[in-house]
Amino acid sequence: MKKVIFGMLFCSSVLHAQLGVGTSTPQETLHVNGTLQVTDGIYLGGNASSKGSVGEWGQVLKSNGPNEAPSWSEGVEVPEATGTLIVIDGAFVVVQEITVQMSADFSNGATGGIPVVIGNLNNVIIDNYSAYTGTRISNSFLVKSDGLYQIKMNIQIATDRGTSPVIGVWDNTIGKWVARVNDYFDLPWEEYHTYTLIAAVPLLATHTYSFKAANTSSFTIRHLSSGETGSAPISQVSVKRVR
Amino acid sequence: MKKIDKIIFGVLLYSSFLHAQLGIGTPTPQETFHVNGTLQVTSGIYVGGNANSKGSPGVAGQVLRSNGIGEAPSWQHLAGVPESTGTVIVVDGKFVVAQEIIVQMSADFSGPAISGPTTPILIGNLNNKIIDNSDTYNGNNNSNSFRVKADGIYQISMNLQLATSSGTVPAIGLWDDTLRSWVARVNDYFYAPYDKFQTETLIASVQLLPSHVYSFRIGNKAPFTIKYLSAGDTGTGPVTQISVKRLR
Repeated sequence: MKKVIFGMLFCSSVLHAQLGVGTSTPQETLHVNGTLQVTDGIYLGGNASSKGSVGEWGQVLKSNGPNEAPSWSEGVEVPEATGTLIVIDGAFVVVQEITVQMSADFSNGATGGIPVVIGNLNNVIIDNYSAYTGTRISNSFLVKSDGLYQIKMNIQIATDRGTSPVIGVWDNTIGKWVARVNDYFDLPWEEYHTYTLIAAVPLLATHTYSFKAANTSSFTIRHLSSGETGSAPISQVSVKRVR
Repeated sequence: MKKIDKIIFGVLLYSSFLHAQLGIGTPTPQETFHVNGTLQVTSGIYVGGNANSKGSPGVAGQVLRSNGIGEAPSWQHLAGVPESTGTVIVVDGKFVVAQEIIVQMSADFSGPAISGPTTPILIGNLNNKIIDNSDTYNGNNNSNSFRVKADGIYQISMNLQLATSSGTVPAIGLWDDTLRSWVARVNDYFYAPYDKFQTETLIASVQLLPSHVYSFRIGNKAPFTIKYLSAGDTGTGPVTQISVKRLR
């Protein structure tokens, strides 16, 4: 009797290639109506005569939808670039970020209304999409995608009392400022005032931008804040995508 | 199939039939189906359902997540990738998007002199929202306010270009409307002539509470103007910005 029952089930199993455990109406090749215990690897993929993949340490089981074996893969897609992680549309993205300090002071004569490119901005702290170039006399950068970017410039300046120097980001493609600040300078020549610009502006991947400065008198932008008790970098510029 | 195999199989199946448990490579199955070794699956893994109904094979990209003892695991979208847009921080072992508000001005804002213990003036025209990923900020031509979603430490950044009377000390900052007091402020001495500009910068981290309402305010003993743009012959750019961002 046992053999007959077994024979029937086995026959069904062999013919239909389906097996039910705890169910007489299997819905899949193997249908466990209950729990499943596996004491070693779970191999996925392969076929009737080849091995599947057991995955690597830390990988998770990811569905490939119906009619495909799931696969072992990294739980979170980790972006390649280095930098701040933001989420856009449910995906992790490393934002483009450029942070640069100076390698030496930068001095220039009176520019009138025509701004000059700030030189010596070539100590690159971060430039995670390799989009910035800076030399002793020039600088420029590109953005990888159209978006809103946070501009921060913190620049220590010495110039003539009673002038209003301008610092900011210049769009080289259209020849205009996109972000700037122009505070009044009311200190003796040998003293310093720090100009702070914080602004978010849209930047375009098709344009080229530069950090520039202008004044009606000659001016110096400081590399270091120095004193008898040491010195440290003082001027910094940065561009970082916000969305 | 050899006779002996048939017998072994029969015994196993018999066990399976009676106890609704089946062991492969073990005579003492601990679960409904117990593989003492490896398992290979060449197509979908269906989880859930019951004796007569199919489970779910998931949709592409979902991962298998445990639901604990006594429940089938389920295919779910990656736990932990937040929905909103913004900077990712980790709080209590989970990815969260830090609440962040960045606002710039839509026009200059001018206000009158105030003195004494008067409530400082709400900054108007702070209504060009750059980011407000929890949708809690309101600004119009004469007011502004926001809330935070979670009790935490928030970085306040305010960079305002001002014109006012030389020799005054304008105070700008973040005001707790609920307590009627400053939670962050700066008050630099203003020395430029009236038609020239000076920027006040406040960068501070403070605890903010979801039960309170906050606003950006200014107070000075002389009339003042907060500049929307820095403008010249060679172009213009926004010059005043305030932001609030959760740190932890």
